[in-house]
Amino acid sequence: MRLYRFELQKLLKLPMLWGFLVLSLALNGLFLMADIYDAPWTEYVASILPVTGQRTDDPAFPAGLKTLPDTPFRTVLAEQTAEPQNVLEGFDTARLGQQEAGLIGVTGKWAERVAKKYEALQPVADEMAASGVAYDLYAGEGTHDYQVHLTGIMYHAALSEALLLAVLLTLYAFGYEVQNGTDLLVFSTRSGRCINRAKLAAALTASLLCYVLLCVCTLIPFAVVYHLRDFLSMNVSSSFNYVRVSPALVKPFLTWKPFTLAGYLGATLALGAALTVVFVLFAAVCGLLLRNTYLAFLAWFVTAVGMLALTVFCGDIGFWDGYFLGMCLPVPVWLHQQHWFTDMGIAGFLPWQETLCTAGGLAGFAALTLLAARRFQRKDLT
Amino acid sequence: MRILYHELRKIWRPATLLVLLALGVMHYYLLMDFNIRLFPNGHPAAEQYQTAREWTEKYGFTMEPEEYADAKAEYEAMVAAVDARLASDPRFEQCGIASWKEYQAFQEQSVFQESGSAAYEAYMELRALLFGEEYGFAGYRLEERSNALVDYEFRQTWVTKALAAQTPAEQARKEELLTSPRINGIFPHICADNLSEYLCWAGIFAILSTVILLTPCGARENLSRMPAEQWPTRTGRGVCRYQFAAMLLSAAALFLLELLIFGGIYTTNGTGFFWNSPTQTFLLGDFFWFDLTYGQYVLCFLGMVFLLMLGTAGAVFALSYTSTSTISALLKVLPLTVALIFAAAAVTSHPFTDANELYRHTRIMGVEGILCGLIWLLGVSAGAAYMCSRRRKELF
Repeated sequence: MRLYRFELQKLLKLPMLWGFLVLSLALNGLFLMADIYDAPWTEYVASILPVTGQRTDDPAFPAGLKTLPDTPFRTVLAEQTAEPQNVLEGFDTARLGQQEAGLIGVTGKWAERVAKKYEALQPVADEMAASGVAYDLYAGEGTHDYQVHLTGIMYHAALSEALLLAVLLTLYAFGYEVQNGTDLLVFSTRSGRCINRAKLAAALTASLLCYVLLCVCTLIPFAVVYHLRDFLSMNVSSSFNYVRVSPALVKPFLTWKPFTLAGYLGATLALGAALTVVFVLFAAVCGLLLRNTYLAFLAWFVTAVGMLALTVFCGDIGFWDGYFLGMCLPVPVWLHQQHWFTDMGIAGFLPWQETLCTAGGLAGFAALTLLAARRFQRKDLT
Repeated sequence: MRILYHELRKIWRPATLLVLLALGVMHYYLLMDFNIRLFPNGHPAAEQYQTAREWTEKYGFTMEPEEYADAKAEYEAMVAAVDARLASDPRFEQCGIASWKEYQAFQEQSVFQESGSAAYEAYMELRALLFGEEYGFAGYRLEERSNALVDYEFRQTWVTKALAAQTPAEQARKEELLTSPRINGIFPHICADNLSEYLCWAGIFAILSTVILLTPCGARENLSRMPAEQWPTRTGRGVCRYQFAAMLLSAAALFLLELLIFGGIYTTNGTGFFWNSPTQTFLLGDFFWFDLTYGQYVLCFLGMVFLLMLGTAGAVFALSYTSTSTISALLKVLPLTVALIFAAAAVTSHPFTDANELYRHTRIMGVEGILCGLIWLLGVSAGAAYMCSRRRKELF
């Protein structure tokens, strides 16, 4: 415990860690302004919800809307909700699957697997259509932009910064002794090479702390400026929410289970934390295998970019085993974060792919870390 | 020179070079290959490009009124050839089409028919024929040539209407364009668009590679307590000058290396043909604020990337030598890298034209060059200032 405390102190006392956090938050502050022109609209929609309720198919909705002062925003909203829509009603997921698969020309057993995924999505779509969650107003016509701004820009930025910090902190922890010339001294003590456990625990703690700090300090200003609290009870599969797959293909934002925005954000934050742990373990493997910290960082960086390049390459040459298995690697999972808990389109072949892949990533990298640690235990360090 | 050589050796480590090579290959494959392999990106872009190329070969860099008459006659000959072929094709005869003009009339009637209706399907079938391989993409060729001729006829109207001059400088440029022969320039704007995209990614990689190559140098020196060994020597603290020079030289060498590789690859798409063509053209594209040939435009691009790389090297020198660990150096350099990548993307996206976002916000002609100059000045000044402060610093 004492060693863990000292290791954690080393990490948290790194001055540039705080500098990096401040600069990251400053950058996120700029991203916060990306959709500022839509803020009056979201403010208006949030303000009418206590009067109208959130379901557009509820007769109280148009009645409530009529009682509000006549403003241009009210007119627009009245037009948008004049004919309440349930886009999930009669939605054919099999057809969507064919269209998605057709985009990259996937064939053979992988086409069947993708079709099976969309088969599994049909009951979910039917159930959600029956419950009428798609009638939720969310942010009206501004829903798509709101969702993209929240999860695709703000949270994605915070998650990316946290993952980068997780890698750098882990490599710093594992490379500290070598860089300062204290390695031989430390590894010849009673604790010896067991110090790596304390280092890993400290890196995990510091990384998760940074993740929480970045998410909180990024999402709270967003919540204040864009009235997030008022939309938390809305279902993310609202008819106004959609995913643009290609210029010609737009699909509903259909999740594997009905999620309110609060639930969706909670699940995303939890999965992001798990992904942070995966990246810590990924960096730990590099740190344990390579004693040169900079080379370890470069090895991590090349491997991370390689995960993307390899997946794209496999897709290009039609090697679908490589393509779909490559999509399970942590970097593609991070890249497609905006569509977590949805069907993930051509980036996935399984229901809940991101969750399963992150769990698999945790197990895989934990095993790799153990192997790397075992190798380190047996290595001659002089 | 010996010290400089050794400082350079410390920077150019084989492992780092291998990493740069791997990253370069992946960066090229993921982001830049498209602009080479698929240039000019299908139809009708290929026909636009081809038309400009043929006209440049025939008429030179500009199209004068008498040359326009010749081009029009040539277009009419092309139409006559297609007419002859259409008249003898029973598939077109079935729909009562015997000429390109009749096809156009048929198209006007059918294009708004309901998708799936018999009339629409018949139109789509004929269109696929005329705009397909069997007819040598004749439809695209005729359409693009006709559009280009119309662009020439209305070039002055286009400048008057499309260039919404908001500042006196824009107004002056607009008036200059209206009276200048530059308005007759033949140049496919797809060349400038493609170059802009390609060099945007190349510029981003240039910054990334400079950062990867130079970041560990200072931190590594500090970690191995080199200043304590170097400063008491005959060269003493003057070694900082060599270290700074080595960093700048490395950035310059990296620029040359990347220029050779990425530039070499780019030459394979054949756009070098337009090297001496004026970028301002009547073939609808962006408005250029300066009278540049394509070659000069390419050189301006490269100059901006070079300035960015030197600025990056100067700043990285200051940040790296103030770090006591490579991770510290990375944490300092990463935010700078992100900022520089944004800057590189901003300056290399349609620079010196009205389409550049930076220009749209500032309305300063040449703001892209000014920004690159500022980054270079700030980066190199930061490096130089740190070098001077290091010479006055206490060792411990």
